[in-house]
Amino acid sequence: MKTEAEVLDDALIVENLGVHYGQRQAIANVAFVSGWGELIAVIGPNGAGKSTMFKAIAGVVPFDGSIRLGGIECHHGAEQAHIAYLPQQADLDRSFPINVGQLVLSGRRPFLPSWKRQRSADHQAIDDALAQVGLSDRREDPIGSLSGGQLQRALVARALAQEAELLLLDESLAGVDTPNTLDLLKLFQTLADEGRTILVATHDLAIVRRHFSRCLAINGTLIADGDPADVLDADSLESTFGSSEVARYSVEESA
Amino acid sequence: MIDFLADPFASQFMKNALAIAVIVGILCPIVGVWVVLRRLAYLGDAMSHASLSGVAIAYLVGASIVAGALVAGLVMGMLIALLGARKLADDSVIGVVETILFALGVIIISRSSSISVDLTHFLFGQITTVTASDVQLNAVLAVLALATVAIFFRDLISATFDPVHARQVGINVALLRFIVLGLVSICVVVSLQTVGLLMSVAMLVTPAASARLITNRIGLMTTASALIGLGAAVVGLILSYHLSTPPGATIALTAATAFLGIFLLTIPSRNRAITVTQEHRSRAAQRNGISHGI
Repeated sequence: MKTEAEVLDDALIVENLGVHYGQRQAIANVAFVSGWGELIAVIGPNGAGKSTMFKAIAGVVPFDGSIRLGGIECHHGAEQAHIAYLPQQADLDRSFPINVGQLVLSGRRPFLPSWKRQRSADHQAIDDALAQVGLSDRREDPIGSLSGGQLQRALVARALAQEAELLLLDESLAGVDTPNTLDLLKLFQTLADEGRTILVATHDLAIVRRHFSRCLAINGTLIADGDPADVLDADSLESTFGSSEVARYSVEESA
Repeated sequence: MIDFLADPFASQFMKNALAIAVIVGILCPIVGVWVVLRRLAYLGDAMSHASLSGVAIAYLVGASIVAGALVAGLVMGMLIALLGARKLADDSVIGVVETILFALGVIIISRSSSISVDLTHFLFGQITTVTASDVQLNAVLAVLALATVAIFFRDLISATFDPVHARQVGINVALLRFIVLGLVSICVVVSLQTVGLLMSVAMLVTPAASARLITNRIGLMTTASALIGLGAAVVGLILSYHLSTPPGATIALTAATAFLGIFLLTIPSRNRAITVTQEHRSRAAQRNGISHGI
């Protein structure tokens, strides 16, 4: 039995997590624990339940089981300002007529209701967040003018302005060129080193092998959890992707 | 020229008409920004038609037509939720519900001897019959609606751009959707006497769509939408006086003409934006060592 202090050391505790959409069970019996400051990759085929697991942790879809962050139970539908879910880029309308500053400002909503004027603390929080992700000079630019990597940075800045402790990045590296991918990975590591816990869903197994120290493999349930060198071996990959051919190809690609 | 502009407003009824045109010209385009950004143009059109049943029943029982239109909008929302099924797209359900409520309104008005106002007044507006008390009531409604938009402006941005994040940070996304539908209902009511139910969507969508072509900034889009709507309402009213055309249709066509003009004028800037995007992608591909055509 863990003491209260030990539970608080565990940033995220997921137990027996299940989500179903109508009759279809999307994920079942997912369980893992992560500490503060961990940078974790989440892999699995399309439809494996990576996004569903993130949305359950973020409290935006109903779930069975238990999710605790910093010892506090998370509930579906409750305000979860300390958790930031960054959606896939395809889920966002990049032509939406707001600038980068307005996007980041939306992260201040827990501290700044819509009907109140911005205070100096809010301006400062936005400045700090944009500086941390390297977008200080893009504050007034429309989000439609950003590249894929820059949009991810802006979304991370929104999470920082929100003062989120847990970041759930849903395929944030998809469609991002190599230099920007490497920059984003450095940024994620910096944020993790500062004590935030970060989960990144990705299909790029080579990146997982080279840049992450822990990997969760999911396909309807948790298949493997551990060092990428172990999780990305042929047996685990065959269990995760359901095909020895895919596993062999993935091992060769990621080696 | 001054006579051309001033002559129409020599009489009191045309002064009232101008006042209501100004209210509609500002209110509808500002609410319309959210109709356009939320891709609710068809729903807005359907709500304007469906409101006829609420307005007709309100006339029949002697209740407020504002309340009637708002209740009709609420009933429409509930029926859409009730009839919505996985096999049917939303627009199909909206089409069915719109037809039911619109047809119901037409039958009530055409069969009831207690409703003295002609059906065409509801459908196409009758701006010259507007009284000073109509202007006051609609001004109060417009101020309430605009204050609502101002209060929830940032929440509307968040909930429209990324509803998942909005829910996470404590915004009641479902309530905001209901508020937007309520605002559309108010616009339909306020438009009733100017452009009528059938063309109220013209003042909701056309100025906002025009403003969207001009700018990528939501604050500027809101201001530009209101200015285009105001200009279309006033110019349309003046033109209808001199050309002896129906005011509602003339205002709607003036707004549409502004849209076409802006569409043509912004073609070069849209083409430039596409070229810049293509150049950006090309540079990104070159950085990654990808060469097209090889």
